[in-house]
Amino acid sequence: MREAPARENATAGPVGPWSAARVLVVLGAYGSGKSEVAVNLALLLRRTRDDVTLVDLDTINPYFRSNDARAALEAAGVRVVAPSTAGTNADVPAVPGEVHGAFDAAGTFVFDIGGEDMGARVVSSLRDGFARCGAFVLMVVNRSRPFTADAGRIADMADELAAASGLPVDALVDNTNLLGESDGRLLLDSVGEVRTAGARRGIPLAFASGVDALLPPEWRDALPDGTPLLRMRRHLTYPYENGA
Amino acid sequence: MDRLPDRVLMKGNEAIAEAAIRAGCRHYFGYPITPQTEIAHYMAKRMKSVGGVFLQAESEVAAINMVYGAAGAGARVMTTSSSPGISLKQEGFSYIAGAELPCVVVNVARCGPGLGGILPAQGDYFQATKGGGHGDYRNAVLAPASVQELYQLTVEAFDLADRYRVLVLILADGTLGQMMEPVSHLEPKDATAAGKPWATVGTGGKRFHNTITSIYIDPERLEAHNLHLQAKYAKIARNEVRCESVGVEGAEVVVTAFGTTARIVRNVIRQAAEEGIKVGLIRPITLWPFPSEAVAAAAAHPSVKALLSVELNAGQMVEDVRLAVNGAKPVQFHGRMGGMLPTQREILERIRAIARPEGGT
Repeated sequence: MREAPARENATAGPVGPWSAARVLVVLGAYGSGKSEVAVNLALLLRRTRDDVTLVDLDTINPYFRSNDARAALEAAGVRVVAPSTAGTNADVPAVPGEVHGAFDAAGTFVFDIGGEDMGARVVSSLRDGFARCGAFVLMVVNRSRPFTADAGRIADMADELAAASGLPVDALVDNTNLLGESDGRLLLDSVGEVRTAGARRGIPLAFASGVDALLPPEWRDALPDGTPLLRMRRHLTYPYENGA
Repeated sequence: MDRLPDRVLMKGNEAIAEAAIRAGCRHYFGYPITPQTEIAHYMAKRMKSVGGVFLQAESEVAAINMVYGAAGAGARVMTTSSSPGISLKQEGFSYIAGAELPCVVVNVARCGPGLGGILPAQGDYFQATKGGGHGDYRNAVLAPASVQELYQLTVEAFDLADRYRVLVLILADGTLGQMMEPVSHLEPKDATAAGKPWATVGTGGKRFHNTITSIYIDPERLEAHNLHLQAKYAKIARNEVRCESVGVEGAEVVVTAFGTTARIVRNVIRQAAEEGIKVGLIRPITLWPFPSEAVAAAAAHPSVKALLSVELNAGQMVEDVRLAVNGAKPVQFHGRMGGMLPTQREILERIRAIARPEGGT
């Protein structure tokens, strides 16, 4: 069953060097929103590509992960690869064997790398594969999080994740949010600082992202300052939010 | 980390850790267990920058006894764990109660019994509020229901512990520990602990030494010690009861729920109102002392047909609700276990059955 078309479908979504990559790696600190960004990127790419896979590679935290959006992804035609323990609440770190297929296959893969620096360290075992397929690495940033609140700390986090994963960060995604309290202003006010952080390490800002329903509709595909914008639907929710 | 935006997005476990540091906690001893390990991660990162001590103990038993030692020396000290680890600490709880040592313990509870699972549960209510260790003692037990409240109650737990020389237990659950929410008021608190003339900090040759102990060989002295403890607990019960009461006046049904469960119930109250059923909520913030007076007062409202206790267990807090209601009104129970959360629909059905027993309007 397909989901009802959302308002975001009115826009084509942001483009950039990252959108030409066959393999996208999405990483970030805890609470950056990387899983939500990864899920939405996979859904966005699926609109123009036939073979899209989301790989849930959070080896650390069994709570709240992109595998939880499996039904929505599969309904939209996105394949989901996750450790066999995902969704079972077993507290067992595991890397699914299928990930190795991504490096030499033809389709599009979006990797959601959770678990902060420790999770990234697990992924470093795959870095040769990522290098072979020219993977593009996006680091998601939420300036409302204590450890990435300003340019200095964002740059340090980029260093930490790159060192742990063995994957240099190619571009940043500004996903600054306070969950339901977010609005366009919060995001617009944060992009300058995220750009500054990136400039210190020679890393460009790929795009900003926010929940569609919380952003001014007239912004469509870009913030008023021209920053490309990914309008997202929330697919990962807390159990007490479910109306069932 | 000392300067932060006015409002930040924090995981429940991080809020506990940051709050403890800002409350002046400079000693943390713990042993990792899901779903609270982020507290230890955070403490490992942060303690060094504030000149504190983070120590991963060899076991939960070791950690609680390190807490005993640090508390005896007058330090603001905390340990955290999840259900099976909290079980291991129970002997330490009893010794801490006997020696009257102020400290803070957090249980980010998971489901049991035994190894159980890592999902949220409230099956540790009895253990938290009725003892768990041996002997006649009480811990003050706080039950936050949001990340902001995890933060605030952790700060307040240190004050409460110092004021009464007791162990303050924060009973959270896996959902609260893992979820993220905006948090404000992160400004540093005055970390000065209340004067602790009883602490074993060295006499400097100027006075007789203090003793931290729970052993009293002489039965008369031990009974006197017990009576002293009971008088202290009675004072806590008089002064420190906290709960949130919402819409109890004129309600047909009053739901009692704490923590994560109360969040689900809040949504149900809105749905019930749309059907014309007025539902009140009593959310205990202190599980011990239990807000018996508020529950009794709610039951006394003529409009209230029955109370419904919703919990993530087989029926634990409902016993305290029944004691408080004392037969004035029927008290029903709805619970889920094993990490399952009650859906809004199933709670609403229980409410409908009380408010509209014939199925009509």
